[in-house]
Amino acid sequence: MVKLQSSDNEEFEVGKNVAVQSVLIKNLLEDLGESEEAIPLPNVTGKVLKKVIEYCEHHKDDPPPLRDDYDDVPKRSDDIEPWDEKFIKVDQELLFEILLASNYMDIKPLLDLGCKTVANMIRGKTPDEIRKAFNIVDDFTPEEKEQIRKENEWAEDR
Amino acid sequence: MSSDERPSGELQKDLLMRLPFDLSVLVSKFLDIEDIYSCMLVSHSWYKLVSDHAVLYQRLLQRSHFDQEPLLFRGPRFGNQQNHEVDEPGKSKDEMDEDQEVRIEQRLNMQLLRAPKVLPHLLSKLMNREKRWTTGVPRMRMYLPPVGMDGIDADIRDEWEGPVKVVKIKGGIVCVLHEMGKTMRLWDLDHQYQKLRDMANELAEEHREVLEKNERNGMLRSLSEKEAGVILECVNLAGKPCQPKLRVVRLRHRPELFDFFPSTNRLITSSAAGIIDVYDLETGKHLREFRLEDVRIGSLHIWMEFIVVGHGTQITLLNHKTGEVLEDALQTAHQYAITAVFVLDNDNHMLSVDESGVIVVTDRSKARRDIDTLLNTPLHPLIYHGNVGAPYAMRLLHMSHLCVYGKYTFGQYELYPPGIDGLPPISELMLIGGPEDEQDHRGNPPVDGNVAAPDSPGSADSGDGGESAAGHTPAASTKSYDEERRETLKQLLRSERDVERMYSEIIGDRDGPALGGRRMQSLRQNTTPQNDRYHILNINSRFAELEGNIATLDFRRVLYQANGFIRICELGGGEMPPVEDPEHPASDAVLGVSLGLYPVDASTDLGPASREHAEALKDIIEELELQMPGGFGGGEGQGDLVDETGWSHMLVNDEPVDLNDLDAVSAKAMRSMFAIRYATDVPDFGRVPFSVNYLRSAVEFLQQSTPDLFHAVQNPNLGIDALSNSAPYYIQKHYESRFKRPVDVVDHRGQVRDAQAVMRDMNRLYRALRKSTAMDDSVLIGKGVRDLKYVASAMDDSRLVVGCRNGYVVVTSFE
Repeated sequence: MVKLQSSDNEEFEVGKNVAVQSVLIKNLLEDLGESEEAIPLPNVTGKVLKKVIEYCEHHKDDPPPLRDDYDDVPKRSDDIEPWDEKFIKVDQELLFEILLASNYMDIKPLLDLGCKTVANMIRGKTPDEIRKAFNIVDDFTPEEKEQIRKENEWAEDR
Repeated sequence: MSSDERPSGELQKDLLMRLPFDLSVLVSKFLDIEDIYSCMLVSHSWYKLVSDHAVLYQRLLQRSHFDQEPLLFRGPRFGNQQNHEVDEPGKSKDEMDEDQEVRIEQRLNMQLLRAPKVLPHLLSKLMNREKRWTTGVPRMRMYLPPVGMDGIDADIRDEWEGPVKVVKIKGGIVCVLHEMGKTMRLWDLDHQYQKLRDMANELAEEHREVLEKNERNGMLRSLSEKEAGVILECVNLAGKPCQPKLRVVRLRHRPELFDFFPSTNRLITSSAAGIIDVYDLETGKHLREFRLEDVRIGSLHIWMEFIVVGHGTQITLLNHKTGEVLEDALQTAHQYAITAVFVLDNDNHMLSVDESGVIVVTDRSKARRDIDTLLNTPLHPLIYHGNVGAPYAMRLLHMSHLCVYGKYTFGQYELYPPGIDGLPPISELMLIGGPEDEQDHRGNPPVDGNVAAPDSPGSADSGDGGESAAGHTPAASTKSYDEERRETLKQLLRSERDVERMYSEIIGDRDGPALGGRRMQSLRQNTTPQNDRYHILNINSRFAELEGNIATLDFRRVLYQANGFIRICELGGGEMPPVEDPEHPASDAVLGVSLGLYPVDASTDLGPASREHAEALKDIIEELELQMPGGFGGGEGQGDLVDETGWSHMLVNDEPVDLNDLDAVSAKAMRSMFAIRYATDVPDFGRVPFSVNYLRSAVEFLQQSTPDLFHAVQNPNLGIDALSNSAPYYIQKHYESRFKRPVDVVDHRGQVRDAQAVMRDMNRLYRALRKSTAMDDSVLIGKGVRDLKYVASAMDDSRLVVGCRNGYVVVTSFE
């Protein structure tokens, strides 16, 4: 078992096969060896760490992800598993925290899941809808908007 | 509005902008370009994020085409940037206009021109900006060595793989194949630099003893701080004085053709035996092999995971990621060997051009369904024949436009959006050339693609596309078939109606009469106004009469190679120009502008020519002529002086130069140079001041010690290469240029070089000779490497031009 400690000093005990899904923890364990001491994760709160552990628990038996030789190739975002879809249905603040945590802990599948979710929130929406979804103030002047629209009118017409 | 001014509530909620920069990039990878454009309209900060190279350019690169990847793409600056920059407020209208113009230019260089209506919009903006033609002045120039410097401890003669056969440049990576090479030489101009100044110092330190000895003997002087600084600057966008490292990929088989795709780091080569090897561009690791039995590969192209191979009249499509053969020897409509082939963006359509100038779009999905059609495949043969002659090459620009160009003429380019829908109706493409009898006179019957082949495109081996004409001839068995087709196609050429009927029948055979009609209609359907449909961009026709090739072109510039020179011309614009007859160019039709005539061997500038220098040289030459029987110019006397200084003047001012005379002019200049520079650099003479006594002694010394050179200098009939080859290595050293772009530094191979290159060669030389000080010319000057002709060239994003002669690649950066 591996002990993890969140930034708000909450401790979680998880199986090694769960913990090593984080490349950060895996490297730490390899470098420092296993110990009774909890591994501090100063950038992750207890609430978020709990969520991350839930994800890792569910995916602990998954085969290791294939290395993508083609990082630059366009990626799909419509291939989210039902469980993952349900798991990531959280408010934007928590989604943001999960993205940061998965990035920090280096859990690529979770990071991908988060990014896909954000992408899906944008996909197919008009600028107005995107603003609404992310609660963004429209700070363009009408002239600027017209200018950009003009420049990119072909993209809209597609 | 800056980020500080944004409402705090918004900051809390704006998820994308709060993410670290690299995560924003990651999110963008899951979005379509259309979605990204929607993002541009969300807010200033989103606009900034999306417009930023790191997000948008990379995303676009994923869809990027093909043949040209933007030099400007430099990969995302990953890091935990919490805040993104936001547009500066309060810009004036002029500044905004300028910004917009810059953006337009950038877009032309990026891949934003996918939709058919974008090009007219942007090009018209670009082309009508008050006819403000720019004059391209090379920013800097550098030489890429033919053999590696580091870690290769072999004899220079062993490493030498002959003159350059093909050079390509994509995404800032220069890839060179040598004639005798079983390796691929690569330089990444954007990355992987070594600091030359340090290297120079290290080398100097390492070989101090040798160099000092050289210096004492006048063989090679060490670089001054200033010279090193000037010489070593190269095209690194950051402006650091450094040079790209040479990488050498060892190949399994001697390649005939190659191509590479920087985005996925893949290099492919094809051998004469039909073996296609896939390598990792970065590590050189061999990844996969495909064997095409009994074929001679005529063209090779890689895009994303697809490899498309043209052999004879067939196309094979491979997936190098999975190893799958997607199409095996798919028959196309071509009757002559395919010289260039591309896979279009949906990987269902393949676009190819053959020796005779026929462009064909082959639809592989249809081919699978209908195998009983006329030629076993659905065809979209487009007969292209304008005044330019056959399009010996074509290029897909920024995944958005097809550009075809003729071999000999400068006159005409047509840009078509790729894909079936984007192509103009067949009849529109039937740009009928000269009268039939003229074509017959040339021995090319006015039928099928043959009408479009006034000259053999066989030498089309140096285009940037690199899809060399493989010299195929149609199989003997197709002869009678050709005759049959000839008669049919004669009708086809008669009128648009006949064309339509002909293709209706072809298409009808495949899809049934009803569908045929519809398809024909869809082919003809093009709602874009005639003037905007496609663009014929003419450039200055003054050069039309010159022998030479268009090496490559893009939206802005054309790279033209002729007679040992490369010429860069900016595409002209304004009103849609008429299609001009190259045989009778309109004298007042200035539709483009020449950006200058650049000898590919021009040296790195070491300072502009000064009037004093020119005067001094003139005096020296006069003096020297008095000393030398017959003078330099074979009795032309003062004419040489005028020629030499005039030549320099011509280059500096980009006046038109008759390329046919350039060799002669160069030879005269060389003749004078050798003597003068020799006179001023020989031991004990010092470098300055010029003195009659010194010169007299120098001439005597020249006569005694280097009779070959002396003879060459005196012989006006000797060509420039003979002259340079006559000089022993030690005389061909680093010379400080008094001209702006003169013949400058010549080494033992007759190559014009900079001091650093000479130093490197010296280093290798001593290694090769095991530090023996005995210098034997015969060892160094191989007969096979004496050709001074410029052999290959390529252009990347209108900014970088590479030209090659012998083993060296000269990179010239514009803007």
